[in-house]
Amino acid sequence: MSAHASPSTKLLAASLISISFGLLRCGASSSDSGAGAPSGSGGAGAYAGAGGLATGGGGNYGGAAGAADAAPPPPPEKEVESSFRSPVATGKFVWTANPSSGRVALIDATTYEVKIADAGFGPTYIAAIPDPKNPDSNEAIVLNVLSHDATLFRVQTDGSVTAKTLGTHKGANAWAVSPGGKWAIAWTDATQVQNADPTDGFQDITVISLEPGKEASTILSVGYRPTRLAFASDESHAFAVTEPGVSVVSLDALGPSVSALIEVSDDPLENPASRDVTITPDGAYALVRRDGSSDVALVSLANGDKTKITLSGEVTDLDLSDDGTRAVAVVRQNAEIDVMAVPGVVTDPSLVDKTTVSGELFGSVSLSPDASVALLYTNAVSNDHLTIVDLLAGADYLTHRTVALKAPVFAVFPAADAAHAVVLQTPLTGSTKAGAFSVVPTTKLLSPKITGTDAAPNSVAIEPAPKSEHALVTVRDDTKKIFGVYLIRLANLQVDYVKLASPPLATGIVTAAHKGYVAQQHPDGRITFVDFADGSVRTLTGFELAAKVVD
Amino acid sequence: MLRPSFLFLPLLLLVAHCGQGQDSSDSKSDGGGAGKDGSACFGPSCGTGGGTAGSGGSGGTPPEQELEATFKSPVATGKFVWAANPESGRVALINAATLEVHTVEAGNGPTYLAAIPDPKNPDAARAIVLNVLSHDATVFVADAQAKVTSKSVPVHEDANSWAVSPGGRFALAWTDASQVKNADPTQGFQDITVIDLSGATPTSTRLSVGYRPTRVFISNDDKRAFVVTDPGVSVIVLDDPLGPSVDTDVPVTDDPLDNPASRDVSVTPDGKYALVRRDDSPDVGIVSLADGTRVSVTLSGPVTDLDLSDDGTRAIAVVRTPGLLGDGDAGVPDANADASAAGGAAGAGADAGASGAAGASGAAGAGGAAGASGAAGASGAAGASGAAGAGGAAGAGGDAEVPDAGPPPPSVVALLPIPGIFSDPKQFDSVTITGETVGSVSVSPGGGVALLYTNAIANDHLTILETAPGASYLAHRTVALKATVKAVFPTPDGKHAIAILQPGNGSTKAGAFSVVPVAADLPPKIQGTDAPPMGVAIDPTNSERALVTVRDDASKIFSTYLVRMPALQVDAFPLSSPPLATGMVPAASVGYVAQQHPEGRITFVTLADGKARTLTGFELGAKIVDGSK
Repeated sequence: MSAHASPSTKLLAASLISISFGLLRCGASSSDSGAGAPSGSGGAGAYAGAGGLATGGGGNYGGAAGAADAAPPPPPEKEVESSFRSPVATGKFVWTANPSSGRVALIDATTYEVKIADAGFGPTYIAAIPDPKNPDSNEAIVLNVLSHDATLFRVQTDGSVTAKTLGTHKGANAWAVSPGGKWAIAWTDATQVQNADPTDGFQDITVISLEPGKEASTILSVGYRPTRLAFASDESHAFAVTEPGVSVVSLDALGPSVSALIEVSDDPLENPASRDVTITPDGAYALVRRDGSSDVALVSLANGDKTKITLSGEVTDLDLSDDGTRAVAVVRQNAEIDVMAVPGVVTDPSLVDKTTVSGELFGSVSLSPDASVALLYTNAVSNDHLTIVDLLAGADYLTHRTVALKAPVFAVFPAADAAHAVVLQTPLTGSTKAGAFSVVPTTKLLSPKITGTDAAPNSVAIEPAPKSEHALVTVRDDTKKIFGVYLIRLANLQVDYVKLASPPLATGIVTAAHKGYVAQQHPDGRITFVDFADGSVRTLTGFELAAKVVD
Repeated sequence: MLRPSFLFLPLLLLVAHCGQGQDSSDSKSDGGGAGKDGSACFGPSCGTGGGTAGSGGSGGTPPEQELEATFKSPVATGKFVWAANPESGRVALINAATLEVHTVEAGNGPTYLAAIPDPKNPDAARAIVLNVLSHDATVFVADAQAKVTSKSVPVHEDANSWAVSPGGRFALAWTDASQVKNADPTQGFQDITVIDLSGATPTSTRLSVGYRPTRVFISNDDKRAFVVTDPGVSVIVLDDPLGPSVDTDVPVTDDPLDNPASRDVSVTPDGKYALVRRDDSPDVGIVSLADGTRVSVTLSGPVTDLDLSDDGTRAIAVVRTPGLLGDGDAGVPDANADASAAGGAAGAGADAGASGAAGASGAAGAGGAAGASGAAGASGAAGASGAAGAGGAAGAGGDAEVPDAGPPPPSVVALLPIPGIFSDPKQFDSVTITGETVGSVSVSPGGGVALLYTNAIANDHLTILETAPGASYLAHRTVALKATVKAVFPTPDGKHAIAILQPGNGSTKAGAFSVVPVAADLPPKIQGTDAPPMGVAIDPTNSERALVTVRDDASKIFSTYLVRMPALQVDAFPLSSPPLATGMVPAASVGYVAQQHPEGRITFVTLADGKARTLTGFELGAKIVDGSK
């Protein structure tokens, strides 16, 4: 699925995740049943039955059918990966905010020592501040939603914590932090606001300079309802993807300012919900995909020039590599993927490699961060197939294989080293399980590991590069009170279940401590650490009161 | 038939019955011939009952069934028998020579036991038990004085099976999904735990293999393990200095997403090749496990069974019906025997009237063109079989007056040299078994004899095929065993075989077995039993003794039969409780029958003189409650 702006900075509410998961299932079911049996060349039941499992087959799709009796196409693919990302860890510390108490806890994942720091009123959204020059630095910033400000925390070398408060606009609920840690932007994600009035544009953003000693905040206005914030890798610009286009924010010595609005469509009044816009890391281009369109547009963010690449059919997904040099588009109706060199394709449209995977139905792609592997699937219909495409240069370039995961694929998360992927799945009709996930070796010809779960997965964390050897998948069922986390050892595909005593909210990795953690819903605060070395588990409860270790 | 190395099963023949019924229903789509299931029975015991065919007439001949594995025995090492009690958490070590008992603590719920061989010291007593509740395994080592030491290692949840390497260095705990009722589709049972037994303290490593493993092989050199799974064969490197790891998954088919249930995969003992048979396919796939290269050997019809010699130098493939491709087994005119076939076919034919060849079906009276594909000719032949069995209480089919269809078409047996066949897929010997329908093969451990039969239909014939080099190479003869053959166990020396039989409906016996001289041209010994056989054990040292255990819970009939070869003497020993498993303790020259009893019960039968001694309550105090009989 398409790249998203720093979702790792988000502390997710489990309710949203659960709702998201449930919606997909309902959506699939209703659309399936509405579709009825496909009358085209596809086999009946491919996506006709509610919850039924299509085991591949391009024939499931109605494209080959005659016009007179063509089956309706599957519904659009769903972008769900961002809902499962993890919250905040820096160095060996985990930061957790408590909106009720107005405090932020800083937990040392190696010693379980807890420090408490006062934030503003209603500290809610917390983000880590990276420092590439000093990976062991520990800085974080939290949005205080009731006092409409942000508190910047820094851990000093002596272990003490300093705090600095900066004003923000009202209604901020999201962070974007620049790659070098020089800037943070608080913005308002309208999708997180229920029943927003059409006149609520959520156009304010607050740009915060994080330079030590020069911390300052500036409130700017961008286009109507921003959906993504991104930074240029050199931190010279920020880009807000909005309904009318991309608002360009200059981050120069004179202070932040909105320097331009780059339109990404010839029709600025078109339905923006049908658009999927991704910014290259260098800030040079915006890549635009539209539902129902066979075009991929590359828009220069320097001058607004647009280049259209027309593919063989409707582009159902578009994903960009982390370094921004390669984009992969999916044409579901033709079981085709198109690999585009960026920005080369702007000047030479022939720089598109394509391949088809006959007999398979997929509309989504998840690229490994280095774009060496593309994972193809569909979550628009019930389908348990995942196709793995090799994108490394060489003899195997564009070769592919398909694995059956025994339950419909919902979302796919490639590991940072591209060697594995974690796939979340919805239960198959007839299954007694509430959910499932698979661990899929993507570079070795090994079988995927399939695990049924008694509650639906609600968050995923994978150990970052260079050694993506562990992952956590949490599951949550509030009705049955089933809460747990699965520790995955990717090298041998070992999966172990750890029962949790309270509902998991988010999961993440503390790389420096070689541990994972699961933040949980508890009035006094609760977090469970899972040691990757030996699988041992420690739960901290009430850490806001006295750093009490209870388990 | 291929023979996994252990296990026993109560109610086996009941399972076999059910399997037939299910197969017949499954086979509706095969189309074609009628009356298959209950049909081709040759000999006086046939034609006496129409009942068994009720399930059979509706479609093509069902697949052969792999039943041998269910008859195998539990654990003995040296002169000791190991017995686990899941409820007490203890394992009993019984000296089969002195009947002295030692009990040792295992984990929580010790259930699945395996012997650990030591080729350098055959008298060594080592065993390993899976503790299903504590999710670990306990390794036991007994010294000469039966003093037992134990050590435990963690194991994945749900493990229910063992594979132990020939050299005894590794034990692999895995999960056989077929033993798990109502498994969810997302339960892949992919965990496997490799336990290295070489050090002073065993170590375990958890790995993940393909979805739903069905068989585990370990190479003779203890270096690699091969796990047959849905997508292919997972290759495990066992002796890596860094520890065991899954090296690769080798697909065994061009379409790894095809139905794995139709595949039968075995691995040569040296771990170099996998042999793949598919239902309804004439091809035998030979897959190099080193590089995944595949070759295909195409035979004259669907390969119904494939067996590999113990040394892995030869595979024997059976083509039950040559020339029958693409439409299932419709054309097998196996219905030409028995009224039961006709009777059953009649009902089925009625159901199948919609399938098209109704006219033929009607003409056949019974045989009916039950199958969807309407192989009317074959069905007509099937009707003839109804005539053959007319005397039976056949019902509708029995009244059919149609010409005799004559003998069944010949089956073909192909002998594939390993590894030669990999480089030259057309270079192999084959033999036609004229006048017989055979779909299954059991190869003697030495590879000198192949025993051919079918259990897909009612057939009492067993064909003995010489496969050793010499003047008699590929010579064969057929014996009638008077009841349907269900499974065949050659003795290790290849001189005899024990055939498990299922009597026809006219029989008053609940079960039967036969002791068949294989090397000598002598008549088989037929033994009716009052309960169905459920366990078989053959003395591995001199092949002169065997135990066949029978069990009927409803009528509370429990017995074991001591079989003496070459005299073919059979003696029954009643048991006072339901047998669970049967085995041999060669070092003590006794056989044993473990039984269901709250305090533990086991009966030992001395092989030399046929004396039985029963031990009950051995967990409490090695109490002998039943002396020699």
